Amino acid sequence: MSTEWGGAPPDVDPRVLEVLVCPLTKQPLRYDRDAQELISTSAGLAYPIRDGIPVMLIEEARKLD
Amino acid sequence: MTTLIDMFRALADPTRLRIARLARNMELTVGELAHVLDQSQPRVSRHVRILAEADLIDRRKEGSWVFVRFADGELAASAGAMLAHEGDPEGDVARLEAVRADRVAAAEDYFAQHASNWDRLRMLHVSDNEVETAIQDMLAQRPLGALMDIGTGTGRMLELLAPKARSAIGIDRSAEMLRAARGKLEAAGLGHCPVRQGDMFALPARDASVNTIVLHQVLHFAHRPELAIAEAARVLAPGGRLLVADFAPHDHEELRRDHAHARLGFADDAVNEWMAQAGLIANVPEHLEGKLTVTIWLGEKPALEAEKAA
Repeated sequence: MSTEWGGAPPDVDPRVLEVLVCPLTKQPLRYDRDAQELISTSAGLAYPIRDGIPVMLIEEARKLD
Repeated sequence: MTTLIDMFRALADPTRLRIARLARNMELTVGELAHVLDQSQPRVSRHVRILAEADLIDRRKEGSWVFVRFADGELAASAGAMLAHEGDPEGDVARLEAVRADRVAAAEDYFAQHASNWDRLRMLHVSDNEVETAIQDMLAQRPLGALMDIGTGTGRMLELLAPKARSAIGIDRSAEMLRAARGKLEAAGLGHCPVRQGDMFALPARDASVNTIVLHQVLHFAHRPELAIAEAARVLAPGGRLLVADFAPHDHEELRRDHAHARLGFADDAVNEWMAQAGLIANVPEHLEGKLTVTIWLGEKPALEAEKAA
């Protein structure tokens, strides 16, 4: 399966992954399975996944170095 | 008939100038103005009255709150252009954002506390059956396609509509609500239906990527409902539909006091105008009488010309 997430968590419908983007820049996200984060390179932000639920809130995101 | 001299007299006061500037920026309440200006409500009300008498601002009463917004007239527009020159010298807009952020935080606490008994709490104010049937009927004319439920709470709309959608996603700001939603969706055999923590004013979705959006009993929690509708319209694909179900104007002040409501219902025209401003074609809304009347609005994003011809 090829999505811009670079591999999706097994429980998630890929058709839905395709519409999800960074809420700030509306650009694609990359899924970092080890860190359990969704990376927005364009915004320089990493959105956490807590209890399996992606937290797509700008104020909750971690700034990338 | 307002004359120039009336208008300038009304504006020739530092506080009133600040009020006019804020109102130009967004609709806000006298209570919010009092916070931002750090003055008593009666004092602010007096200033607001003077501005309203000079046709610079419009007042709208909603329960015990008075909403203030910049007037539409030609003179007001010229005055507004003058005000724009100075920007926001007192930092009032930033202060207003802070006041609103506090309210959002209070609402979040409210949702976190009530996630476990949310379904029961919802039923106190309105009987769901009739409204849910009306929503299903209204959406039944066309396939749902990709569905997004904004402010999904415990996931009731997903439970109702996801089985008919090609794909479905629920968005809510509250992690506690979403945990409850996930449990319920799994029990309903809809465990594949994803939920995301997100903000109705900054959706984590591409432009024109969703066919059906539902804002069910959500808009009354929004301090700037027009922006929530505009954001939904952005995400809607051509030919897509936005359904808003919410209360008609009411005077149940306790919903604002105890249940985090920001608005005591919406007039038909208010939501239809916001939809029109967001580029949607609004239909005639439907009303369901009850202890509190519920209104259902449906807006459609125009289809692309090429598709229409096809």
